Amino acid sequence: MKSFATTAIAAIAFASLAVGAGLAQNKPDPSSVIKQQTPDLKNANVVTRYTDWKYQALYERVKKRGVLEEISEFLSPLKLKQKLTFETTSCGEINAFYKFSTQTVHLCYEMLDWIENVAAVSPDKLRQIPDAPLRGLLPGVTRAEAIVGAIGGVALHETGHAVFDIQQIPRLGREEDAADMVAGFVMLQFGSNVARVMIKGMFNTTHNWHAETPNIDTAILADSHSLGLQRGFSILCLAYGKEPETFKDLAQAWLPPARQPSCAREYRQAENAFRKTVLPYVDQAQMKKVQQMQVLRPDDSKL
Amino acid sequence: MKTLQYTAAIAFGLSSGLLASVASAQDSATLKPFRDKSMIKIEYKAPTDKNFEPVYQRLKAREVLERMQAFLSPLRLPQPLNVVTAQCGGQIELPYQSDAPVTICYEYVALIEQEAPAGLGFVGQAFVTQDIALVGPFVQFTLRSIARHIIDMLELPIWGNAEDAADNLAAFIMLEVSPQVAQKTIFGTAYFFAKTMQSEKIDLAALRPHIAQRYFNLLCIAVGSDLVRYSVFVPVNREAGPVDLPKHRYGFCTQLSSPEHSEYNKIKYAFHQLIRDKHVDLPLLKQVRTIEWLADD
Repeated sequence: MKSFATTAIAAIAFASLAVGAGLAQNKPDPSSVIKQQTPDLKNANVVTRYTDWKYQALYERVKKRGVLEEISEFLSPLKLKQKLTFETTSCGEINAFYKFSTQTVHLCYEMLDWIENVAAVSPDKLRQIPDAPLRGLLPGVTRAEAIVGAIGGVALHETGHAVFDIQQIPRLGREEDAADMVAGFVMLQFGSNVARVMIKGMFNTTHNWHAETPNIDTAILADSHSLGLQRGFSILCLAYGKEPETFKDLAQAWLPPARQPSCAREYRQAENAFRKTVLPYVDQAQMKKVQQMQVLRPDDSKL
Repeated sequence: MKTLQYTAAIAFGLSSGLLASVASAQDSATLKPFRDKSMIKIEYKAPTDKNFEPVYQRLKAREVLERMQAFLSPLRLPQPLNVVTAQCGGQIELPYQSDAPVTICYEYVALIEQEAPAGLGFVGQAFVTQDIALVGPFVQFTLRSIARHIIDMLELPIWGNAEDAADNLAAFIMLEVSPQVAQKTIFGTAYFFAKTMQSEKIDLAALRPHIAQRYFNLLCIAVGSDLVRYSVFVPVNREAGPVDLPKHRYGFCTQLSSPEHSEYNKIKYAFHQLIRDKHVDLPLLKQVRTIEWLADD
């Protein structure tokens, strides 16, 4: 079981981690700029595109880093039925989304900017919302973890939508929760160290979503997304369900005890869904090549 | 705290409405061939609390479980699935356990009865009769509880929350039986959810979503299945009320420019792929669909 998990969607996960790593650079560092593209790791069905100049600094960093090219590499084992485009762009709002009419994942500069300048910032440096949880970094989460985990998690979530759509994968749960489950599951497939970075960063993000909309009314409950903290608890629960010892401290800090007993079952559910619906589209030989790639780089921990 | 309320509701009578309506499908002889083929095994457990005795007796007399057993007879399962009615010690619902029987608590039935209007009720701008308010949530609860077990029994690949998946399956089945059944069960469930959502504490760590979220999910699927029939929940050319589908949601529900991406059609596709094409006796299903379920007495 572990082999498929490790093998399976590295394509997607590595890609998003690379995005996070790239964006986390304040200045392009030639020594850490994207390594040479490996021709046989290209996915012919993945198209990448950098657009927009409104966020000049972000645009340049992302492009120089070549993060979208890395996405293509990391997705190389996935036998996509149709072309999938990844695009960094300005959206006019803090967002990231998959547009099924064009089969394009849009990673908005506004969202990247929000992560860097709100979710990954010490709370004492931010203007806070009265009577709301503090925005910014949660205690115990580093800026690097916040950036890498957030961007990786968001990219994985949108990639989940794309894979569902393009591969026509059936989902009986809610679409947005399903995409979250893909993101959470994939985050956990690259060893404990990577998993902890990703989970901490993503939980920090969901905490910040919650902090920005603390009043829960029916309009929020009617949304197609679960609430910020609901999403955070579900992703953390997957992690705790897979590796209780690795995530024991995080579960104790953030996950209410009543939820913890169901976490192992929730992880098994994700594993079962992955094995039956995604794994058949993964080229195992190609995957082994992707597994040789470095997920987190030394620079990523020095942000 | 709620135990007393439920008990009181039972004591004052789970009167004819609920049980009569649910039981009004067909006579026992008609249903027997279906029941004989069903993988659903049923049992009415006698309550220890005398207050629940009348409910227990009426459920039995009305053969509510027998009808559900017949209705679900086309479902092919690897082993029998036990469905019981029981007293649940004051809880309206037992925590889910895959190896336990599907349990319909007398306490839940009492809550449905308690929340039903004496005459006409409303959910948003929709009228709901007492009959609808009683039948809808009972059917929804029974179907979603069975669905939750079937998900595990068939090891269905579920992306997202399995609790939502169970709700979605129940909603889809309710919508597919017939327009009459759909209308009765959707409106009735919506009424019950809307009535109870205000009193449910928000617990963001709970595995099961808040009842308000479940309410909007239900409406979303219904509107996606038939926008005209359920348009009363869509605030077009009027101000949105608290139980209407907000604008930011119903676009996803209908996906008018690309209906295959509506939430309803996603569930329909998943149902066909994961259940209908693999675990349903289709000729038997055809026969089951000829029966008029939930017909008025």
